[in-house]
Amino acid sequence: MNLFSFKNEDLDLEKKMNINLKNATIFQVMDIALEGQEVDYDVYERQVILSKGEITVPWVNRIQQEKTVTGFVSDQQGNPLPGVTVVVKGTTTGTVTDAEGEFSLSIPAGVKVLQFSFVGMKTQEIPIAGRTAFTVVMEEEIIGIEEVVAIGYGTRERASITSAITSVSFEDIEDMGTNMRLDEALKGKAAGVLIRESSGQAGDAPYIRIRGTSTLTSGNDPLWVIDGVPTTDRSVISTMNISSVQSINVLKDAAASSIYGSRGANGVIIVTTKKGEKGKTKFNASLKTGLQKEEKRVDFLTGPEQIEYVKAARDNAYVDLGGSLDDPIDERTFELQYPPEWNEPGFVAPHYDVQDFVFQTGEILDFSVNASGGADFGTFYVSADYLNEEGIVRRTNYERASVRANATFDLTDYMSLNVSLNPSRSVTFMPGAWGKGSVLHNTITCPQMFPPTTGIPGYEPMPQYGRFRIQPLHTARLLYIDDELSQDQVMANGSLTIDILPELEYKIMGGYYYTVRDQETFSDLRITTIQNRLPYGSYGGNRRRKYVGDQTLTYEKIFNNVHNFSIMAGFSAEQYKYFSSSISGSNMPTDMVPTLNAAADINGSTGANEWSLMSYLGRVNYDYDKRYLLNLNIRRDGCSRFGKDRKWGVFPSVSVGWRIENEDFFHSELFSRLKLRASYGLMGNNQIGNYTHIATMGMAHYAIGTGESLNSGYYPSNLGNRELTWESMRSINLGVNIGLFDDRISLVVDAYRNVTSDLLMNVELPAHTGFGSQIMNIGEVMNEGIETQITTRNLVGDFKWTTNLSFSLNDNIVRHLGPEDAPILSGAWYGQSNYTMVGHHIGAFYLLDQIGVWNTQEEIDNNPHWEGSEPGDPRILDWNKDNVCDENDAHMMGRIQPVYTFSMGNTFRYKNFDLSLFLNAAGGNKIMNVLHNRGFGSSSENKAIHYGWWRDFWKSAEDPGNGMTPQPNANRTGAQAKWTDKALYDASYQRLKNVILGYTLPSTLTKNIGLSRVRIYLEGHNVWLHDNAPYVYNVEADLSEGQPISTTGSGYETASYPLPRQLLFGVDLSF
Amino acid sequence: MKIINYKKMRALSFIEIILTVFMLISCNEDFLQLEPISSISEGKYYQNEDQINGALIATYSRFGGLAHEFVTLAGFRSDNFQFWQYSERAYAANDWSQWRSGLWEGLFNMVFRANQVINNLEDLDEQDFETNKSQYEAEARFLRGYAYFWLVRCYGQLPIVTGALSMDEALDMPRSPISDVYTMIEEDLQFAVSNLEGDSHKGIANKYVAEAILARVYIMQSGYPVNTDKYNEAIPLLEDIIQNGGYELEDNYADIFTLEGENGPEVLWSAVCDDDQKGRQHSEDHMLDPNAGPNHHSYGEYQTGENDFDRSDLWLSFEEGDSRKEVSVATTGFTSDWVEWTGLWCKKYLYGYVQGIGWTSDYIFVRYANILLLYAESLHKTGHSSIIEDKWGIVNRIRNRADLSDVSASDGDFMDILMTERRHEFIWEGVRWFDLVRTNTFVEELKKVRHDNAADYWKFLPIPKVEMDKMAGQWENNEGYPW
Repeated sequence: MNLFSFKNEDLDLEKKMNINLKNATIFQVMDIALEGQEVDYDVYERQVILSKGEITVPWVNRIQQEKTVTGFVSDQQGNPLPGVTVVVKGTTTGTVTDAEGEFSLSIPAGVKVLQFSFVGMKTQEIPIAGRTAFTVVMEEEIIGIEEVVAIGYGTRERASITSAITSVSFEDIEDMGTNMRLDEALKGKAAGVLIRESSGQAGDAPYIRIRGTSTLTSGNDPLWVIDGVPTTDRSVISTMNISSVQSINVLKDAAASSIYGSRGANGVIIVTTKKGEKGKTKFNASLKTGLQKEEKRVDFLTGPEQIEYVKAARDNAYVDLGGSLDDPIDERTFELQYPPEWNEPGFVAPHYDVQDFVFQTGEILDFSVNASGGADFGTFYVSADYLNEEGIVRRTNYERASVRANATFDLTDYMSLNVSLNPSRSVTFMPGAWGKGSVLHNTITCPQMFPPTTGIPGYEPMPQYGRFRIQPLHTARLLYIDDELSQDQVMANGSLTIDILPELEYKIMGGYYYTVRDQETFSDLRITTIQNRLPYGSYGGNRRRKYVGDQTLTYEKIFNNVHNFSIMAGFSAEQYKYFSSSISGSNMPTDMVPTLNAAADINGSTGANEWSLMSYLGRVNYDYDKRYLLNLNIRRDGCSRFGKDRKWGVFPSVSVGWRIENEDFFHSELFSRLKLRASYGLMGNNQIGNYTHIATMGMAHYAIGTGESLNSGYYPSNLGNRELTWESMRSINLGVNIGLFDDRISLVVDAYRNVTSDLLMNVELPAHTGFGSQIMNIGEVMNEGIETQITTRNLVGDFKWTTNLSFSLNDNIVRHLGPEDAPILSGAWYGQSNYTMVGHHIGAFYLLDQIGVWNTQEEIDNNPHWEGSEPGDPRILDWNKDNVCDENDAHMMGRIQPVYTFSMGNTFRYKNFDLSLFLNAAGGNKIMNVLHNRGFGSSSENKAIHYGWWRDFWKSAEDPGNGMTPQPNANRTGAQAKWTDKALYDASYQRLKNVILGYTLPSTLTKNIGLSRVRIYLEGHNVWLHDNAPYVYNVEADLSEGQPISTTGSGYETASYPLPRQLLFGVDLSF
Repeated sequence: MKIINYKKMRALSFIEIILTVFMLISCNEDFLQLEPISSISEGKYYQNEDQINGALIATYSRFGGLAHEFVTLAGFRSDNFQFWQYSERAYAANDWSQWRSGLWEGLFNMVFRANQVINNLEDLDEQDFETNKSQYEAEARFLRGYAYFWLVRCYGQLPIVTGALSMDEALDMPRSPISDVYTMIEEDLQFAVSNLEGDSHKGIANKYVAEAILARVYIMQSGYPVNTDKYNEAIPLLEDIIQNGGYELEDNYADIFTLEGENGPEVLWSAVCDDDQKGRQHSEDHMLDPNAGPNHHSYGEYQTGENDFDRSDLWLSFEEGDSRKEVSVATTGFTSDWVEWTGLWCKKYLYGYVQGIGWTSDYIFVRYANILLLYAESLHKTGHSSIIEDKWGIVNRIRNRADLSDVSASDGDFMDILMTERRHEFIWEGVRWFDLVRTNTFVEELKKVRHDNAADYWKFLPIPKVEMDKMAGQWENNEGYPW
């Protein structure tokens, strides 16, 4: 006879039930009897004690009775699933399934629920209910549900997020292929994030704009947070190996980013690296190899065409200046001459394909291994990788190797330690091969009527070619110069987590990185003989060092089952220091020593700068019954970059959400999820320069005395500004998350308006202050946009088909520009055609509009025309309709950043085959080919007339060519010499970015050779492209190396490094 | 199964530790007070004699760029040269579109640098100085006075700036009457005269230089448009220079401007330009560069422009045999590293051309010939008895050096002869325009050289348009100008 003890109020005494069991233990009986009631029991000898909550009966010795349960876990197809974690819910007691999908676990008496979890599968909770044997079928997890999202100083379930955060998981990235930069991999994956791949050179950074451009003069880069270490330094993330990344979360609105305060305005990208899992150690190896070549070539004039053009231009100019074509050529001024044999009958101009000379097919090798696992001590993940990419431009090369070690140690039950170490090295050969003044710029524009190697010792001699310059020097640079950039880096961080109370967690984190970049160049005699000088070389190096320390206290508790609180408070401090050095050596008597040792003249300098940040932060998350969600963030930042009187700023935000799907009144077959979100907040941009607020002294020299000895002194070279501070952004975001048909379709839509004010600008000062200007916080820009992300599972079952769509629109408007709202004129290095004007887009193209070519004098006389126009001259649009064509007819002709971005990814799986196709597109903006806009007659005319655009030029009224290309003239006057939209192209493109076809070998086959998984695949990148810019290699290009010269002056193509078209074959092995 | 006993952990002590760590880090505000490492912040400078001296050097060095403005202004606005291309037309009075603001900005920047020295000196202790503190103040005030002397002659009424201004203070500042500006200039220069030593270091001011400039200030005021006779005050200053300064005329006029003859006995003060390459690494050392100023014209269309030999008033005004003509005005081609000069051009500063470096001529502010001619003028105006030869004797000394014969009262009006002499003696030395203004002859002289619309209001330059715009209606521009 058992004795039952209980309190009356704990038990439903009215409830009656019949249970038929044979040979059951008392535990099995009680488990069944009390199922569904919040009543616990314990057994002491023959007494059964019933109570609510955990039994704490100090006066009895509890029976330490354990029982063993066993089971089999499979996927939906019935294949055994090894590695599934089985734990007793709410405890750390657990195990993992073996290779046969089976498990056996000893559980204490009184436990009720087993939890089964596996990456990519829905976590299942199975009541024990007295059973000892289990068969569990794991279901694939629907993407986006119950996913945990990194939100900065913590994580949160996606369902309860109220701000605009886009998550990209490792699986998403893997679909893109893994031999690319981390930032590149985000392309098209997150709506509202523009990744502009301005260079195809491996290792070069694309630039990233989250929700448009929100500053005019300050830094535009988003903040990256890598395992808790923040940086805006893109070179730091350049060497990260993608395959060790677990997830990337992009924080887009104020409610998400304001936890990063004065650095949140450009958006935040949080990168979390992989951790190991307890259980059997898993190994993974992957090898990829392939070839790449340029994605696109542009249309240049052939040698004969170029000669025809040059002749016409020089002849026309000579006639214009009063000469006659019957005069001997050597009577002309030098710049109008050309080799007389060009006029000889039967002369056939040679043609050399300069693009054949410049481009090559490059080989790619990418290899990586990793191992992960864990045991009682904790978990580990280690990986190593090596990548070598031969560039598509002659002699360019990129090589990278990195190692990562992540480990978690369970020090005690309540304390765990996390450490991560990530050394890496990369070497770029010919890093500055592209952009203005680069070897590519100068080589690719060599005229095709001369061999590219003309003038180089050992190659063909230079012919007589008049003033037509060719570039033997730059060709020689491409062939012989040694220019190597290496980067060595260590990233490290460690954190200690202590559970002070079950609800209260303390975490202290320390992070560090150290990056050393060295660039060495050497020009040997083969180059310097052409330049008429002795060998020379240079060394440029920099070191960056960052420390960061955070402490956070997080309190999470559910009250009365419906009030869910999560409160975080923290403190953070960080410091960054940058050292640089540069040495140049020249006049080396020999080139046998490729360092600067042999240099007769050596110059050098070093420099350093630093900045620091100190912050208090806090967050409250509250939800009522998973229906009404509230999130409050606040951060107080103090930064060395701010002026004395404005050192500290406060950045608050609030967001709310309503999960309608959880309302009792909401019953819908259609909607499986429905959440409305709204947020508002304040963020800052502190990328304003380290010492901008401080007046600094400039050095001046003055000679004194009859000996003219030089004396040095200092003067204030700028005015400081004690009130200089961050640029501030007010951001509002409205969003909705929708799941339809049991989440077969999921949809996220966000709309935002960001107003950035206090923009840093140079404000004109009356000169009697001693200075013409001072930097102040003034100026305002607004960004508005809509982002949509749709995931559909079109087919499930044996044949699976998933589609990801993302689409975003962005519009920016300048609202205020200093006291007088004076427009900012900027542009490429020798032409200004970007206007930043109140009421318009930042840096919009402002040009004359060429609408044709004048055919007859009569036509000119009867229409508004540029003064002095003649037949064959460009016809400019009389934009302002004042019946005169002049400079005042220039007008806004397009923006530099895309209006829309679109991407579509499709993944198909059938049995062992998988196929993914990723397409992306952007457009609505323009790009200008600067070289093309220069005209004949300039000093680099060979570059200007290189493009096929000039082919079908105007010759006479009877032979007017294509109606757009004017008559060539080396003596350009009037409208001929003006910058027009002729070189302005639609920058829209559609690109089949990636195609990956994979086949996983049947497990029956692989098991025999001891492997758990073998997948082979073919990968294609930049497979197909459509654009409308025939003379632009890459419509995403921009002027300088990775970064536009300025925010207000960009959108230019200048011999960019084309994107590579790659074909790779790869094997992944797991065991 | 393990059961965690949280009570054992003494939760409270954890919180105590954490709070302590929080407090320790957060109290340290110094963490945020970072100053530039690779450059000097203003707050750290002006702390000792060496730094004051350095700040003074940097004030002098501001003449870089300005010397070129002085040359172009006094040359192009006067009847000496007309040239219609590029920036030079900026100082020709009838082309508003290209009006330049470099002179205004540069001079006020110089005033700012001088003010920084003067005001920071106040906080320093006399005992910490090896040299007299007042010596530094005198030099700084000299430079401020000199800068204002240029400003007042060019622009008339001016804001009197004696310290750092905020934007609001600058906007509130009125243009003071010309007499107030001159009073300030006189005070500065008088302070310099009493506190500067007499010994000479070429390139920087000494007592005699201050006296020379002050004398010019007095004589300028004696003429148009101020018309306050101060010749009597100029005389003792000029006599002190003549008697005690130890300066003398160079024997050969041409030697004054050659690299070898630089800093000769005739030069009181010049902005010294180092002809060693190291001195030219900084743009402000670029004292005078014909490439940026008196311009090249290697291309055809300008060769037959306004500086035709037979149309040049200056060229035609020389007496037969005047050796200064060939020294001052180039008539033949001159080729630098990359440009060829032809036609009539400024030659004085081309002698300092060094292949591979550029133009290294010093810009001469005051030389002894000017002291002598100003003395002769003062003798003429006051009837004062000379301590050297009489006014005709002085003029003839200058003429004889230029291989010209003596003149006397029978040859014409003394002032006419003196002014012609000054015109030929000081071509491109920042003199001619102001001589025309103070003698109030500029309208008639300019009309002779095809400035048919010359008028009285040309005596002052307009305040640059950008500055008037910045002042947003607070100021009225000089009479006659359209903005």
